[in-house]
Amino acid sequence: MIERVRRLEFDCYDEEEIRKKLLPLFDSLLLTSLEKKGGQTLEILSHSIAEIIARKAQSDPEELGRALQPVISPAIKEEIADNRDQMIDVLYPILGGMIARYVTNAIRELLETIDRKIEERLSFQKIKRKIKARLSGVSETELLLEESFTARILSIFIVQRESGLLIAESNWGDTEIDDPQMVASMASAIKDFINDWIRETREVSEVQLVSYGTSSLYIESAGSVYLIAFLEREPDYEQRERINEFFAKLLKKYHTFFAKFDGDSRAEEIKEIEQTINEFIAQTNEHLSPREETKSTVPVRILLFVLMLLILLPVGYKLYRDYRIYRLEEKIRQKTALEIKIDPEGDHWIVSGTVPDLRRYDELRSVLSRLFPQGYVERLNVPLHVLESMYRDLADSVGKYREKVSTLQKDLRHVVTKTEMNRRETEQTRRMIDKLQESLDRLRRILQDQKRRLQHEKAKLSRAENIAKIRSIILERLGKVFGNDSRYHRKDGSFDFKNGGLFDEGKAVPKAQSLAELKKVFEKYITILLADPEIRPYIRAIEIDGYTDSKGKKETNLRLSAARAEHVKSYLASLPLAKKLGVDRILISRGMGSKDPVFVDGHEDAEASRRIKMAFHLDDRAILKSLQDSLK
Amino acid sequence: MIRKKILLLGDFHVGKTSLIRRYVDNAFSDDYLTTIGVKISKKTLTVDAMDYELLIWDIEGATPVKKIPTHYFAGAAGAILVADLTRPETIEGLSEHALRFHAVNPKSVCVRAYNKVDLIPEESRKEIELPPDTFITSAKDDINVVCLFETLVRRIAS
Repeated sequence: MIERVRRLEFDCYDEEEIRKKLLPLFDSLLLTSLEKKGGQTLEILSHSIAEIIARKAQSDPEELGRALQPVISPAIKEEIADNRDQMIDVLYPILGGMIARYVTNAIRELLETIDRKIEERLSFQKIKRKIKARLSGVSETELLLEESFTARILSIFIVQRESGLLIAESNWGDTEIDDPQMVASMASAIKDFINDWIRETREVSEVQLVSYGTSSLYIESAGSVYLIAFLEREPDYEQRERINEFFAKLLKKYHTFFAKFDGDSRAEEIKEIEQTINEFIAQTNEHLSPREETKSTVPVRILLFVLMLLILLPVGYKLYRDYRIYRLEEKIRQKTALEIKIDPEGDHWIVSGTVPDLRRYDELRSVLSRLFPQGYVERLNVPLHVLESMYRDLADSVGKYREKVSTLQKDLRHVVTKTEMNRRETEQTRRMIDKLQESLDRLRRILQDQKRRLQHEKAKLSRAENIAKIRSIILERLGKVFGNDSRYHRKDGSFDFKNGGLFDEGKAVPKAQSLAELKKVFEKYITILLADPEIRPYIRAIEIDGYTDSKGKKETNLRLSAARAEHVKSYLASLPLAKKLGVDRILISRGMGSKDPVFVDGHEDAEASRRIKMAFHLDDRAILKSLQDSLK
Repeated sequence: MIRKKILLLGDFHVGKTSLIRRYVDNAFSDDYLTTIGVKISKKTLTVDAMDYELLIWDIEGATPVKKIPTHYFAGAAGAILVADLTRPETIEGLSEHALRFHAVNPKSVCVRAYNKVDLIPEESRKEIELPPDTFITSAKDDINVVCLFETLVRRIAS
């Protein structure tokens, strides 16, 4: 190579010629050295290239950009395609802040333009701010800054983008979010859901701000993680920029940890991250202080307000009244096509104008009644021929009404007459009903009386019948008790003690052993006859008849039989039951002598013939009297 | 504490939500499932002396007119694929769910649950063929529910 250069010196001295020949040689030399990766050459070139690029960037950056673009752009594209998240993590701290600043500047310019335009117009807020600045001595710019205060940060989450797992969290003061793991996951799901929906509908990449009530969620994504800031209100652009800058610092420091996070909450880095977040929240929130109004300005403000009110009220009222009149007239015009004028006069509305015919007049009145339900004063002009026509119509109408009224009066009179007749008929009917009712009551009383009488007569007849049948009744009762006793006679109710052997021959005193049987029969007999008050009054006497056998003289037998009857009567009268029933007063005795001796097989049974008979006698007078009494 | 995101996948009405209700400590309202297609629940458990916190994403089942939203799959450490034993087509559909899941998470693991075994008579249960890492489960009678989740955690840990 050196030999070739020496020879060139002798061949040619033309500078241009020498350059042409040397340059290919240098290129070849440099290429050979670079291919062999010669350390010295590379070191020289690296310094030179860096310096060359730096100088070129200062002198002609556009040319340098054009030169590097074909190489750098594909390389970056390739790297982003292979390691998208890592590239974002690396580039975000630079590009995120830069983009945010550009966006903020652009928005600020936009806001300034808007402000300038607003300033050209009358703004109450501006006037208020200007007055306040004058009164308080604080500049208008400072007041403007005070109005745009920063939102308080309540919590910040750092969440793994893909899994939604919470990596770190920090809260302000006592603020605490229940179950932050689940909240982070759910927020991640909702964010994914919204992003997915946005991608399907518009070409916007990420959801960034979610507002709920007065609070907001500010979400900033970068690579493998995203940040969620819970704020008291929507953050302004500057605050978003501050949050983004903080997030960029976090990413710069921990992007490797974020990329490799596997859900292990014990990692040391998490505590560091949470400490950093906590400091950022404290730094942001401690600058915030409650806004305090200057007390001295309050009365002045009230005074100004009252003053403005006093000035503006009459003007406002007039404007309002004129506007209302205009609206009313416009409505009337729309509905009737009439030019009607509305004027307020005291508490009334005056309606004036011309109406071409009666139909329109009716329409107008209908509209006016709806617009002025409280009433209005009508000063409308109607053409004369219309009024004449109206008068004729009215006259016709009045005639028709008169006819109708006359007919109605006739009908009314007829109705009144009919009503009076009906009233009289009703009265008569009512009186008749009353009379019928009285008759009915009287008949009912008579019937009841008759019924009572009949019942009484029936009772009397029943009693008379019982009296008339008193013997049969007594015989029936005696028959029931003594019917099977051979000594009892059913026909007359007498009792013949013919089987007893009551007396010894010639003796008047009955045998002691026969007295018990005598007593037994006698007590039953008198109980039936005298214990029943229905029967007792009609028993005149109970008769004891004494008998002898047919031996001896007739007179002797008559005395003996009387003595026998008397002994038995005395004995029976002495019985306690006889005394109780008063038998002693009606008990009588009689001697029958040897009358009716007892025969057996054609021969007299003398022992049986010495006997007594017992019978009762009715009191016919008492029966007759009772019958008479009952039939009275 | 190690936190993991796991998914429950399967056709519509196979009992995914019931399995989660039977198992978890804390959950968001079921309304989220119908609103955004996912409901998140939490369960803390200890497996092999290690504490885990599972964030269980109950993904809405596929219907003929609605596909499963796969953007929820990202970052999941594992999945439980659920089928209804009384509907054979849901068992056949598990392969497609597994494919979709592994397409997003190639290194993650799956276990399978043949659910609603309470509707199968006792004598017929022995005849059910079970592929590896598959459990017959019943959210109603609490059969194998805990075992299912613990097995998935072991697979993730290993």
